[in-house]
Amino acid sequence: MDGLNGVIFVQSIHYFPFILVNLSASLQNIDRSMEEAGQMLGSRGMRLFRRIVFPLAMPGYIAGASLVFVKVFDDLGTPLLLNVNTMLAPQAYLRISSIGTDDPMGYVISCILIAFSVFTMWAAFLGTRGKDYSTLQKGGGGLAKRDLRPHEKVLCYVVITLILAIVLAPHLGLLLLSLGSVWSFSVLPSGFTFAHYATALTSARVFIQNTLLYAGSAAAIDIVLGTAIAYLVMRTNVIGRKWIEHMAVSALAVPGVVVGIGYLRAFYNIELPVTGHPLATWWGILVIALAIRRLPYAFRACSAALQQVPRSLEEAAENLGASRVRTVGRIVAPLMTGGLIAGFVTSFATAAVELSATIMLVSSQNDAPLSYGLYLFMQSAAGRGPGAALGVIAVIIVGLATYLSHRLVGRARQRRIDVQAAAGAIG
Amino acid sequence: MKTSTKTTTEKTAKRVIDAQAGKTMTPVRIDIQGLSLSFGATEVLKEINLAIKPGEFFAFLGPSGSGKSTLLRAIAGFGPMPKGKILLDGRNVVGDVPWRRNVGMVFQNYALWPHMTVAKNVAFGLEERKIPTSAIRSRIRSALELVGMEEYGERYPSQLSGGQQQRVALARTIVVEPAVLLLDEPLSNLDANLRVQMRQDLLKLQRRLGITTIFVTHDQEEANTICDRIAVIANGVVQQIGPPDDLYDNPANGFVAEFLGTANIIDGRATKTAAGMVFEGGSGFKISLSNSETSGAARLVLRPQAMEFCDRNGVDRLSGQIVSAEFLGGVVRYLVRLGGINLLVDERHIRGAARRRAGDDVCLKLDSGQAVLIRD
Repeated sequence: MDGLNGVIFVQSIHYFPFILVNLSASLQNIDRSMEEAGQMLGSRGMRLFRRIVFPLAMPGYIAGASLVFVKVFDDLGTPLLLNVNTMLAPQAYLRISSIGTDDPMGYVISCILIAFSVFTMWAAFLGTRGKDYSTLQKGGGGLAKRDLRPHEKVLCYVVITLILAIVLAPHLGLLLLSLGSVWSFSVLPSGFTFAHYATALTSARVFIQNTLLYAGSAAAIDIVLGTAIAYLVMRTNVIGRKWIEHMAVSALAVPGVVVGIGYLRAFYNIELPVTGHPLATWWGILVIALAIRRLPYAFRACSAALQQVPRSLEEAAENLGASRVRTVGRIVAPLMTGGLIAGFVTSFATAAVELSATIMLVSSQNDAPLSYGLYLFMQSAAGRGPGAALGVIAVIIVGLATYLSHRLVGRARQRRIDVQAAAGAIG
Repeated sequence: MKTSTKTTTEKTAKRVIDAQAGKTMTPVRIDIQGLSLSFGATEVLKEINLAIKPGEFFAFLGPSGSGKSTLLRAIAGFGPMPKGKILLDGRNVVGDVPWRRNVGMVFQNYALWPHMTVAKNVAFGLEERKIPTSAIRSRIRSALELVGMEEYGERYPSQLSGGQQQRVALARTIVVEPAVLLLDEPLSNLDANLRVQMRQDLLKLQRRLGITTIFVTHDQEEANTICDRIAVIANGVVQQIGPPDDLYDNPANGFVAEFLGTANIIDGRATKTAAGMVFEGGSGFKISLSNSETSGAARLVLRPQAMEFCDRNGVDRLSGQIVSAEFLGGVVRYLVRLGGINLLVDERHIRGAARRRAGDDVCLKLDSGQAVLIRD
């Protein structure tokens, strides 16, 4: 499968979890009594699902679908790797990289990309406006668990296995490619070797180091900015705080390639003081671009973490003589820690595999991060093995970070329950 | 089969309209026999046996975690399958799916579907029963009129107050004319004044419809004021069943005595003496009993209003000291120490009267006719 169909297939698999996670969260928010009331009044099966469950889960579905649409629009790596250049994102990249920063078509395409993204988010906003049903359902906690009959269980397992097989096939393929010495015209590689990993870890070590530096710095900037903005928005009456919030989140609507082009255009003609190179080619700009790209995620994590700290806990500290700053330091910050670390990990993991903005701003191989290195390796037949090994390393980094994030979120949730119990006792 | 469903639903449609005209439904009898239910290894309901008369307004009263809501949900067909029988007019419904039981339930959080208007919420059950559209319209109107919400058909649940949402939930449930109406703590989300008004409205509606109704609550005042009979439940076991005043006057055990109002419970013995049966609670506490009582270890239940302050000692009179006082409005509740026993005693509050002070010596006259002996 190649060409446009290949892009559609790969992106469907890649972004399937976004819909899954959103829809799961939405279903989790539906109070069990919503479904029971329908059953009691005579509804069941698909009819009950269609009339009650699905409409209530719809906001989550729309949110997930719009997010996937924006991300697919933004995706530069998949079409480039599959050599499909007749799409907007690759066109924007190719125009600038091949013709130059003065080619107006690159900027026109960038504007079209932004327009589509903004329109999608606006449509999603209209589609979900006034439909945040979770706050109207007092219980939450998800639908009742069903005891499936044997044949239903078998059917579920078959469907899930099939989906998993499709979703995990690329990962398996990547793993085999990274371990295969020779692989052509056969189901499995003819021989196995760790040589690609050795190559990846020696010649591509700089990519890994750069990734840790860039993504780590960007995530740290995001957490500081995210916490500050969340505090301004939620705990102060500063004029224009809503606009600050919108600006922090608006990065979601700007495709990565557009951010890259924007920074390139803005800083290309500014020279660095000592070296005389354009500012746009300095790796620091890449960190800033990544930080801006990931700010919405970090901001949401910080807001959620701050929301978990009831105002009454701060008031209790202030009432006992602590100043505002001392209160933040001794009460708010420690209670936010779990959420902040989760936000850091999420920002780090997503920044580590970012290609769209990176590809525009990397000026030399020495400054390139892992995602760009992977792209470079994949350009030649000889580089596919080490490239795949690098891909496996990227998957492991993101996988570990995601696992860590889940653990931290789980711990933060437990802490929230404890905090609410404490706040309840105060109230 | 289809024809019979249609006939039943048309009949029920007529009933709501009849109810508005003051006519009542044909009430159903509920018998629960040997009902037990477990969540994993935890036994939540243990051998429940009770009978609810047709048209009765019955309450399941108990503290949280007692199993009262689980029992209600078992009648509706929700939760794990119980052991035992739930008979609706003699038909065992255990094992039936909820939509085949024709049991209506008003949920604690009302469970109004936020994506549907009030009218759509109320129409839902009728649509599921394939009632013709024209009939649905008139029945929605009738049901909403019955609960005083006829003006709100086009609103969404989020545009209604808690009390209004509760009325809509009630309309949605009764519009399909269920055989039994189940109310799961329906007043718990309302403020105090609205609760008092709503419980009277509920009672009026129940009387008007004549439908057998079970009301779950942890609030004894709610159960006492509107229910014909109450089953007091604790730890998954029915402690006692009876009319509210009977449960209050003759509690079967210490739990019922303490759950239904304030009670002094004194451990001691009933002994036969030359003067007749006497209860001795230690520290000189003594009160005469009816001669029909038997000797042996027992506990004495004395309500705070079963005693009064008097001038001097005598038969069933004891001297003690005031420990503390609480002003409750109509009465002042004193904690009085009698030897080693502490008793709560109510004294009617009279405007301007001075309150007794801690340390004051007092004499208490016990009304032996008000004392209840329990052996649990």
